[in-house]
Amino acid sequence: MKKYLTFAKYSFLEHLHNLNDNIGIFISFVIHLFVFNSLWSFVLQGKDIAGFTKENLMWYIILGEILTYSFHHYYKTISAKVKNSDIAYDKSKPYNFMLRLIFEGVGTFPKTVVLTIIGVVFGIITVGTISIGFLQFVCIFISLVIALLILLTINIVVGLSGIWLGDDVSSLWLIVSKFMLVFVFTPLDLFPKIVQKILMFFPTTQVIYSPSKLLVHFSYDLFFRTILPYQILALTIMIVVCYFVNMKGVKKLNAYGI
Amino acid sequence: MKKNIIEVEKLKKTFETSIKKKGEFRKTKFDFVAVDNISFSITEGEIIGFIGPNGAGKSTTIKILTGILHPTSGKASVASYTPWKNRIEMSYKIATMFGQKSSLLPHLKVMDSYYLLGAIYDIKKDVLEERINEITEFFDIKHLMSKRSRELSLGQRMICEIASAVLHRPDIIFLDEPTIGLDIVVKKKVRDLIFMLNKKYNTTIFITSHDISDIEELCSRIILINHGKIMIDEKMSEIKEHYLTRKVVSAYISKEASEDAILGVFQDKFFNVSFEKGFVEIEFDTSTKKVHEVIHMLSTITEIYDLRVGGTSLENVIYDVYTNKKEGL
Amino acid sequence: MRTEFRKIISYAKYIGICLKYNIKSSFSNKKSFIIQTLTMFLNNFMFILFWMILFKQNNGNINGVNMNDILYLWSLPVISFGIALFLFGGVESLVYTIINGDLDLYLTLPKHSLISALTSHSRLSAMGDIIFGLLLGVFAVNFNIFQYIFLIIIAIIAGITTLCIFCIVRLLCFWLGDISKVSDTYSLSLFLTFTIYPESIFGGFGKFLMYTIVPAIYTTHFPIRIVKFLDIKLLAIVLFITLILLVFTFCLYNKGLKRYESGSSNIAR
Repeated sequence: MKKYLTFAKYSFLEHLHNLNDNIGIFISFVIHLFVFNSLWSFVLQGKDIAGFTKENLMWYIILGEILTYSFHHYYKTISAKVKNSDIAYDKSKPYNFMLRLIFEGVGTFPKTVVLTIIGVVFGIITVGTISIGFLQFVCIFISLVIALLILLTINIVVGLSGIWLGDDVSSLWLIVSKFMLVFVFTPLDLFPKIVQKILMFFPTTQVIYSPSKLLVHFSYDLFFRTILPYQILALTIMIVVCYFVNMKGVKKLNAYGI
Repeated sequence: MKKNIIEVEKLKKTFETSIKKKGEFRKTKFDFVAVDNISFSITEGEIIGFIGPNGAGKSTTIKILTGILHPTSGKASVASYTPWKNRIEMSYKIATMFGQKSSLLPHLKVMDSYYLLGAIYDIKKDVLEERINEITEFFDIKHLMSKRSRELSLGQRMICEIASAVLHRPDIIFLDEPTIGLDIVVKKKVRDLIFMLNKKYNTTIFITSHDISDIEELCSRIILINHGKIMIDEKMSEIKEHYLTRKVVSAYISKEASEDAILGVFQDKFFNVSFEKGFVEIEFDTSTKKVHEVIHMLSTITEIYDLRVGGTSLENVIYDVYTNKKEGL
Repeated sequence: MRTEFRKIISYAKYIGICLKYNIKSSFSNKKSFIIQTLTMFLNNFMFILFWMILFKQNNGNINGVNMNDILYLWSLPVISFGIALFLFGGVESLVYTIINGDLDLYLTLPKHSLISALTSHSRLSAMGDIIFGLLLGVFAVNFNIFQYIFLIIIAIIAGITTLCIFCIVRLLCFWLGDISKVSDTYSLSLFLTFTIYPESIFGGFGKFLMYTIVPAIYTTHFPIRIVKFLDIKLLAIVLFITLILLVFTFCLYNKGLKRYESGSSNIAR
């Protein structure tokens, strides 16, 4: 365990050190929030939509955007390792490669913290504060952690797909990210009921929609009966997919001497 | 009478740079002189080796001559054009091969890259076809034309690159490290092709290379630059005559022979002796003593079991100039 | 005059040839080309889906904005953006080209080095944008063939304007150094964001940005108005702005090139 915490530590320090390289991401984040704020002000004009007020939507979008930008392009780091054959060298080392990727991914946390600060400030300035009780916060936090883990595993699967897809990994990520983005500016509640039922099984829905919905429309019933089970299911599916992609990938590496 | 195709007169290039001295708050700006009033001329058809250590001013000089950089002062004429003023017109007369930068597109077949270059140099289609046929035959690369550049080996790619450089029949080719990373067989082939190119098209070839054997094999003249100044500008034959006169006699001798005895015989300043029990190396200039005289002198003091006579290489000469042990003429 | 005209034709041919070989180069991996084209198509469709959901909730009209407005928004600028990046995809890596000294290669060629750098690469996925925009454009103009042709012409002009803006932002690297991340954020985030939403959603500050630092008004909203309402006055303004930007781009490049040629240590290797 110590070695994995060390991986996380050094990844954390590296990202902390390179935080100003992410200025572009932070600016991009603010721009998107600004535009969404303008868009929903224009669309709603004081009304609700599918039970969401403008304040609800803005906090929904803020959390959704924070989640979208978390582990930003971590899949690229992994696919670069695949391209450079670093992955082959990593696999000959005395640690679990998958765990290393997870812990290093966790080390990218400084970016998420900065995004959260920016998002919260923006939210307070534009629509005011949001009131959450302590226990509610704990539930939302749990949902958030699971969402981030799902997102991390998605990044790993996409990155490792570079073994088969090569440079097309970016295209795969584009498809995945669109499935996330659509839930950032369109809460699931706006879709027809039958579509909602199907989309709840998508891991991308559990990354963006679930914690964001919980933040603005919290209820213990929603958390325990809907969100938590679906998120745990999505996380399990992604861990299994990760495992198989890794196993298949190792075989391909060994076979082709990459 | 062959005319000068490159003329450089008091060329100077300074870069403004800054350095922060210890204890000082602000950085101090100063001018770094990369090329320091150099002058030389090159006749058409020459193969010139333009060499120097890293940071000598080689790349800066070449970039000025190819129109990429403007000089701070001085004049230059390349194929009758001032490079920094008539860059586009001059570019029809020159070709460049800069180190690892490839002019062949990696995902295209070599033939397609050649067609693209034909379009860039405004070569008419029928003329281009004729030239491609000629070049592929000359360089023996017909079998590579339908392959993608990224599928070629390094040696094949280098040959195709050099071949592509003559598509528009330039008067001058600037070759930067043409044999870097190549194995000995391919190196020889590339050198032969460069040589044949020069003979067939009378193209002036301007080579920069850290591989001294490239320079020795190909160039009729060397220009050596260091610290922005020209240290050597001589014909290869003259360099061999002036600098490569030192010989080294290496001999396995009797273990009973003493160092004092050896040094006693070879005490003149013309000799450079290194002694080990049973082995001696004597370096000397053949203008002061002949080889057989030195061997005779050694044989008078000890038994010689094995003997080898070697010469100072051009590489050693260049090394001495780089490390300021030797000044140019 | 004749020489200048010949030069333009020669460069048009050159751009065409570069495009031909860029496409050929891309087609060496057909699978990748198709995936990227389809992905961009899907990407654009997601936004249409969003608006369709919104309009369903609001009886087809949101404060004066209807589906036809969205169709225009996702056809004309998408075509122009696609053309700019498909033909001149090298703009995306222009900062790297300059900072890493790769401009040297283009400076030794007998063609304008900026055009050579811009045509060195084509963005594959931009074909998805072009196809999507052309398809949507048919519905936007209600199958009116003359208006459709006019839309394509205006999209080409808007493409030139977009390209100039992208170039100008990146050419600042001659003075500011490695601004690749900032310029990418500007082009792909800031600029694009103001392009894909109706003009009316933006308040005072947003509008101010659109007319100044992020001139999406000239590449998107004005061209849409020109096609929709055959506004000749606005067409003259857009043409004038495009010309100004074109001249400014080349002037900025030449000025920056002097710094590059002077070997400013921040830029030239």
